[in-house]
Amino acid sequence: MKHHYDTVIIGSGLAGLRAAAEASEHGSVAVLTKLYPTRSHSTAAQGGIGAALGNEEPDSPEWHFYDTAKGSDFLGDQDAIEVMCEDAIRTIVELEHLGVPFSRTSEGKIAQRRFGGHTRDFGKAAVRRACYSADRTGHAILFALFEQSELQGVNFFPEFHVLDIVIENERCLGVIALEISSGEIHTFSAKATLIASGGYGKVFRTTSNAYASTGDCLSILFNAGIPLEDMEFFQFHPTGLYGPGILITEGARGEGGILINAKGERFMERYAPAIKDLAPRDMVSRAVMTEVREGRGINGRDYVYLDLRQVPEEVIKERLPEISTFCKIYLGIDPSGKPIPVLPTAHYAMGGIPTDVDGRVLKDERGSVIHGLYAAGEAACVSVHGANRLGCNSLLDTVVFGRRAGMAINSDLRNTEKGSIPQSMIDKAGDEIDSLKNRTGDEQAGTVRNELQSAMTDKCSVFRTEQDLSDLAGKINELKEKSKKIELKDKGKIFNTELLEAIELDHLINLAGAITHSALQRRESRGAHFREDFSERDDRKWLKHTFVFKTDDRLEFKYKPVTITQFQPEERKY
Amino acid sequence: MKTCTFNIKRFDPEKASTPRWAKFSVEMEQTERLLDGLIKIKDNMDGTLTFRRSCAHGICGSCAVKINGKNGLACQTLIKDMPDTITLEPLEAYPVIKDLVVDMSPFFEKNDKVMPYLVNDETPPDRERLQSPEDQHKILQSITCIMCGSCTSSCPGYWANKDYLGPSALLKAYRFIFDTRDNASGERLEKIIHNNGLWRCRSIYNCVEVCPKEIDITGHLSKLKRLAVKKKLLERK
Amino acid sequence: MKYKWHTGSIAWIIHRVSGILLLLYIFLHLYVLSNLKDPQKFESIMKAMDNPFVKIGEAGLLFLVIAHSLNGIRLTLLDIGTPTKYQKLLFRAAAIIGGIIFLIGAWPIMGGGY
Ligand SMILES: Cc1cc2nc3c(=O)[nH]c(=O)nc-3n(C[C@H](O)[C@H](O)[C@H](O)COP(=O)(O)OP(=O)(O)OC[C@H]3O[C@@H](n4cnc5c(N)ncnc54)[C@H](O)[C@@H]3O)c2cc1C
Ligand code: FES
Repeated sequence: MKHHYDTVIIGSGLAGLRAAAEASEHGSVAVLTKLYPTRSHSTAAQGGIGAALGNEEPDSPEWHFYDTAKGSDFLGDQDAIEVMCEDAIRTIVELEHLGVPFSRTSEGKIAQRRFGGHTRDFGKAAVRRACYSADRTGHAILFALFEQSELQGVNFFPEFHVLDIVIENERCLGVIALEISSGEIHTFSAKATLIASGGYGKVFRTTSNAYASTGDCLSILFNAGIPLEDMEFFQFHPTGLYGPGILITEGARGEGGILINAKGERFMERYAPAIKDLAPRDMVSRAVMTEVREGRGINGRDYVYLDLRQVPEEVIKERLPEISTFCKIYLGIDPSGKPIPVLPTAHYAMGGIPTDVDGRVLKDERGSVIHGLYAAGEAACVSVHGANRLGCNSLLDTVVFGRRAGMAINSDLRNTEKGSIPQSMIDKAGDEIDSLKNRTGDEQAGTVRNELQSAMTDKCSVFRTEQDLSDLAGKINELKEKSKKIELKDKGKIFNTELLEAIELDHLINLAGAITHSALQRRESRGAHFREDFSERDDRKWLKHTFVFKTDDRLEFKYKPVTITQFQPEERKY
Repeated sequence: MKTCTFNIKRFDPEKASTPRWAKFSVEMEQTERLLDGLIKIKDNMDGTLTFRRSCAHGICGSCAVKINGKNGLACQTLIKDMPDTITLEPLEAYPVIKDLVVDMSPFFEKNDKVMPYLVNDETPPDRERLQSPEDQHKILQSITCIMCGSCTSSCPGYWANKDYLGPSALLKAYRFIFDTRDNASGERLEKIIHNNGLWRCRSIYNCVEVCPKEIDITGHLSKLKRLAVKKKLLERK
Repeated sequence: MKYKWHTGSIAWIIHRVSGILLLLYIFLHLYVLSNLKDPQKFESIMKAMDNPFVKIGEAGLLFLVIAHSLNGIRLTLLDIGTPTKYQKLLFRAAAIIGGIIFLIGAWPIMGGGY
């Protein structure tokens, strides 16, 4: 079936929905999503969305700007960071007006809490900047945006899996997608295509990300010759539930929780004397892993405790109900009475599709754009998060840059002609599906996926070395070969999730390669990328963004300078 | 480790016109989720097994199924709380697409009938609209709904009459009617006071039994009923 | 597999069934009363009342009345704002109170005396 819209948006998380609301004011909009819209992983965001509202104590966008730049280990582009922090207050107020049920202060204003790396007065002490709706902030915002965009007449195509993004002569013509329930191929020709397909945490074994977080669209673009930026920077959140890796929000520490080791010692005091447990995530994750490596993990094992026993029970009940339920359900622990076993869990992709501050996708490190192609949210790399994202800045990023992308689409639409997707591309997508279904061999998708995820978690997480990374690169090549021998049992058309998983696995392997090779190249330590063999930050050589290109199965690296406006790189101490 | 038997009601519309039962023996840890079991089956035993999932921790609402005769989330049910034989079926009362996957569109359509969005036509202030914590608490439970469909599919009222709005949509109406920032509450109330709306709730409490977010749905609906009665009585006067 | 029975659904089924049976009984009752004009016929009907099956039927009637009214009270209490967490407790309380009233009432019906 063929569809025609002015704008096609892939993804119905916060970024996609905010963009849809904007773009639907000037043209027809279709939102494609492989899940039902409200099942997007934005719904899992717990802790908060950052803005210097100053509702609970004095705060300023400039401090927010500084914190974000410093948190990014100075790899964030400061023009973009400034845009985001300056727009934050307006953004939150707008969300509130759209109906987001934020938690409130006793005066009825939006309540705010402390979050990692957010400080007052350029690093003096932690500040209350994260606006929250208990520990269900993402859920609250996602529903409000979804409800409003339905009202605005956005056309939703739920359970449509994007197979290809059509780019011809440096122009994006639209999208080819599979309707999951029928197995039919649909094409969506559009003047503007926005990618808001979220993260790809499923390349790792232990992750807070959803099964749907497989980065399909990044991989599709990568294969089409578009570069990916800063892929070596993947955030490991220090407090994943030991075992399933389910996230315990940083808000738990914002409300007074502390990390302790086997000796009962509050070890963050040693690593970040000023803001301790509220240091940025890269630092806390390294601290946790260092404690574990030096034998101070609980019972000599590979986890530490997140202790909420000193947090008043009413506070847990009122502000952290969801995570306390997770502890009860999955570990049988009541966090008011017992400390929670935690370890770092793969959480957030700082890297992604390079864009300018208006969401236009860049096709090279020099800043040239692909016409009609936009990206926003976790899939994109603007880059505001640089080498390490601060907590509660991602939700802000999705809404701020989702809106900006929508506005850019509106202004670009006027001088764009409608293109149409060539039949040859549609046939190609169909052929690829057939060839996947007809593939023979003795490998199983599950086994290959597990091997990939384990290898990535073991060799490419908080600490990295040349040796591990090159072993990993070899392993990924091996898995790529293996994946060609996966035979599908389900040859049907209707709701063939085995087929979708096979497609997703190919994308995961593709992205794992990009991450690993980008990490091999970067011989320094910055933010979330820590090389034990190059443990210092090296601004002289490496204050630049990685752009990895895929050309005929070879990877090529180019670099783009970081935009620094207000804050010169300094040693990162907290 | 224990060996669990997953007894699953399966249906493949491309192969047969009626459902069939299939049994799988799976080695499971006590702390694993039912969803982990389904994934093991799909990965290692039978790739054709079809079910929905995404977040794997009870927040996205994808994986609701009927577990031993009672609706629940596969990702929020642990093996340790299950007998050795686990019977899984698709949610009741929705058309089955394949295996455990049902067509949820009737469910979502009901939701669309209750004006599920905040309405406030007044010029907004420069900053946030104020709302006291007490007022916010009135809607606190209702905003945690993840739209998994467990409640409506467990409701005998809905089994008997598919035109009934069902607990989930009514709860959504509650969420906006009791939001102090909304000013279309009266209009919204009218949309649910009819025979296929609020009055079809017979206080059976099946929805409360199954809600994975432990929302007191029936309690919220009886609050709506009281409001509706009050409104109608006042209108009489 | 049948959908699991919970307290609330059991109460609902009892309420429905007792309601319908009581409605049927009202018709029966009206029929009996309509014979009041004919003393003989009425006499013979009253005789039939001594039949043990009828007595069991009367005890059953008592049961229906008690079940329907007590659950009706339970539902009213819940509708006017009794918290949901008490719904099962209310059912149990109704069952116990109902059981006692039933025994007290059924005893004389079945011919016992105090
Ligand atoms: C557990 C958890 C807690 C978090 N807490 C916070 C927090 O407190 N504060 C904060 O700022 N950030 C937080 N984050 C990060 C933040 O939630 C995410 O980065 C953000 O929500 C991403 O939003 P998005 O719109 O980019 O993508 P998502 O919400 O992930 O949406 C992706 C969309 O793309 C669709 N899609 C993907 N691939 C395809 C395809 N091939 N075809 C069709 N559709 C496709 C999906 O269906 C989905 O609709 C958290 C993240 C996690 C995992
Ligand atoms: S997978 Fe999201 S609720 Fe179960």
